[in-house]
Amino acid sequence: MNVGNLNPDTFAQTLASTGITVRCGPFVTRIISELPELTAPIQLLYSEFPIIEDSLVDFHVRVKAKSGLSHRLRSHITFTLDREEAFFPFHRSLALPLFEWGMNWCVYGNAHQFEMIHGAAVQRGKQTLMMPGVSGAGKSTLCAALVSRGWRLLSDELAIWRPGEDVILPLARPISLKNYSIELMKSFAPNETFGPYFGNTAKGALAHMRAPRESVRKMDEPSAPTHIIFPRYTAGSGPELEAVSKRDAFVRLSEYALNYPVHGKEGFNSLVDMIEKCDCYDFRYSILDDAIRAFDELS
Amino acid sequence: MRDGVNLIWRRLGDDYVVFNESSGQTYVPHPLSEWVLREIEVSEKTLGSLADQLVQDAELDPEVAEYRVREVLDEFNTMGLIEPGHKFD
Amino acid sequence: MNYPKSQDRTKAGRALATSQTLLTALKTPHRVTEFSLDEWSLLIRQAQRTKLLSRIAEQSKEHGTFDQLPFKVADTLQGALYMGSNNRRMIDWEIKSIQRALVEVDTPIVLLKGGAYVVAGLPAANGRIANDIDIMVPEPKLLAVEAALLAQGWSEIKFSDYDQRYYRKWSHELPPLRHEMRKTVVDVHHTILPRTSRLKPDTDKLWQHAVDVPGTGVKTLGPQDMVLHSSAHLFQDGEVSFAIRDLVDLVDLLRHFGAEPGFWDGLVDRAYEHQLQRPLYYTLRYGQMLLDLEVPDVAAQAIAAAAPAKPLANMMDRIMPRVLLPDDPNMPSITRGHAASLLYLRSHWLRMPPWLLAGHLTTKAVMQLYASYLQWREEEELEEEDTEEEEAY
Repeated sequence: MNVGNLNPDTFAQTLASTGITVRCGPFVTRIISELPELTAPIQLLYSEFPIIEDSLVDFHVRVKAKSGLSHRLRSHITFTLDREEAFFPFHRSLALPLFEWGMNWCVYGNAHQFEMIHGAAVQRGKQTLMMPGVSGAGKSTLCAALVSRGWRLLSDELAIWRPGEDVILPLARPISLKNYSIELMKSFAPNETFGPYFGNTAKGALAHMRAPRESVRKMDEPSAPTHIIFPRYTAGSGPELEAVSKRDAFVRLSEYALNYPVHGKEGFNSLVDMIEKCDCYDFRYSILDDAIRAFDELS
Repeated sequence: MRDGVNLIWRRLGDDYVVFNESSGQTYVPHPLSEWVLREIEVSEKTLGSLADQLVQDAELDPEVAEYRVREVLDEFNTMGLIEPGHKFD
Repeated sequence: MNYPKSQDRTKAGRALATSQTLLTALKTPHRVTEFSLDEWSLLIRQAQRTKLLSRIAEQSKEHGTFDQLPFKVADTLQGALYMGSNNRRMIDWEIKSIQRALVEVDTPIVLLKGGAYVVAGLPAANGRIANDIDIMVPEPKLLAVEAALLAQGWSEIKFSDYDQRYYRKWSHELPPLRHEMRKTVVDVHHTILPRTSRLKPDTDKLWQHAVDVPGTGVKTLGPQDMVLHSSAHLFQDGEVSFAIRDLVDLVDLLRHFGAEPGFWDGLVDRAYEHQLQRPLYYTLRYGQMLLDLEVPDVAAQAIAAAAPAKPLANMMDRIMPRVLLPDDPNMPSITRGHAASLLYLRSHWLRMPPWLLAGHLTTKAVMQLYASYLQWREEEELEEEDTEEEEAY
């Protein structure tokens, strides 16, 4: 039974009462929310994910109106993990962005059985690309573009692996797009499914693209990275792949590491092993079609 | 080098990256620091002897050698890799 | 102890029902293989809340149960194991760094609390997550120590001016110092309770009994003093809510040192010397009640005199276990929140002497406090009634 299979009213009722439990890759999350703003978008963006019974739940999550100051209007909402609040209260018009950021926060704040970096990961055939970066440098746009052209999405935001292993575990959660990327992707990939548009978050305009069905279906198929690519959208630039020394890749990659020192020697060796096996590049681009072609030619 | 500091050296391409198991710090040394680190890992060295060796092997001006080595040792001191006394030998 | 056990079970017992799995895991680690997935789910959440997950993970490794656990449980515990060993490494390094920074200051250094457990390799250190390092130095050396730390990468955390003055004048610490690069914090003390506290432990005696830790250049308090300090910190000075872990540490210490001859014999007397007999009483009482601590008869009889008067003892027996322990994460308890507030107020009361308090508490506030207690009693009885009804069903 997938999230999308439930009748919308049933989905809303269950979400508001006992909660809906979904699995995204290795993480099982039980979500409870009475907010009507959240029901339809979650059911849309997570439609392909299985609903889980009988599993240990990693994250017990609630998104609800904050009682207190705006009690009568209930205009502000919070995301809590087992009663611990992530961030500060948001305005309820930003329920979905809060939810998505909160889901990421659950992982990078807690899942220390994994090494984690901020970055995207995609796979096609023998190539698995890891693209470190925080939102804004063009990583998500590139990721979305690749995914809409046949690459499998492992993750848009968090590349994770177990220390001592060399494979990245997929999460296949929605890809977040900002500002100009939203319109760009809607015309580049009109057949993909997009969530609602949020005009005024702290980080500009925001919308989400759903992961393709295949990517979600294969969320239990991890993959060892073959390339580490640092993407940078550069206006007017033709597609340029420039080799980066492994040592520099190490330095730059560790800047995006979310929990690097936690795993001690094992984590250090794991990171070095991974980089040893990868070809490392800087990638500058301005036109998505150029980027797709350049990546098609990667060997 | 301080007692109890345990370094792990890994090669990446032509360079090395170093992990200090005791502190959890990672270090990417430049060629001179790499050389100094290896020397003091093997046995105790004084500032003077390190500088002298540099003058010999790399044909550096003695003043420059001493300055550079002192710089590196200062850095190692801040990172807690060496006993404070080493600086003043 | 003063009260028959059966009475305890009725009053405190039911309230502890939701913590049974946690307590079982702590008392009898080998039994975790019997837990269902639901029990594990509850246990993990409660252990996360009380910072005990790393400990439970390490116990699982030690007792050889780890490989028998369901995959997701083991995976979660693995994360906690990494956090535990990372924290341990951080504390080890931090202690060495502090000592290195103070090498020119010619002062003895006593490590307190978690730092002591780590440096002395005590069982209480296993899987323990700590954030700050606490050290004690002789009062005359305080400024020199501060100067040395400030010169070598530590700096003051920014408090308001008022708070700074409070720390220096009224408290027993320099303001905490944070290392600029490593972001770790060190608290420098010269005694073990606030200067303003009603209780005045004998600092000279603490130094007399301090023990060198071989090969480290630092000291710890003597075993009895260590127990008394941790007791005072838990039941006198600090935050009791969800603090079951501190009691677990204390029981670890008592069991570890209890094996040494002479430890139990002098413990209660030592407590009276430091005026810390009441916190010791609570440690032994709740250690027994919640964690099956075995207290030798001689010590039990000696400490009985340190118990509070019956009404207060009764109230503490009802409140303390509930506040120390976590509630059901699916149904957070309101009355627990009230009970926790009461104890929080109490710790403030204990920290300040009467003449300082007079400036803070008015009659009105005292009355509100009492009204709060009555309300809590009422609500708790209502909750118990509800539970009885459910169970009758």
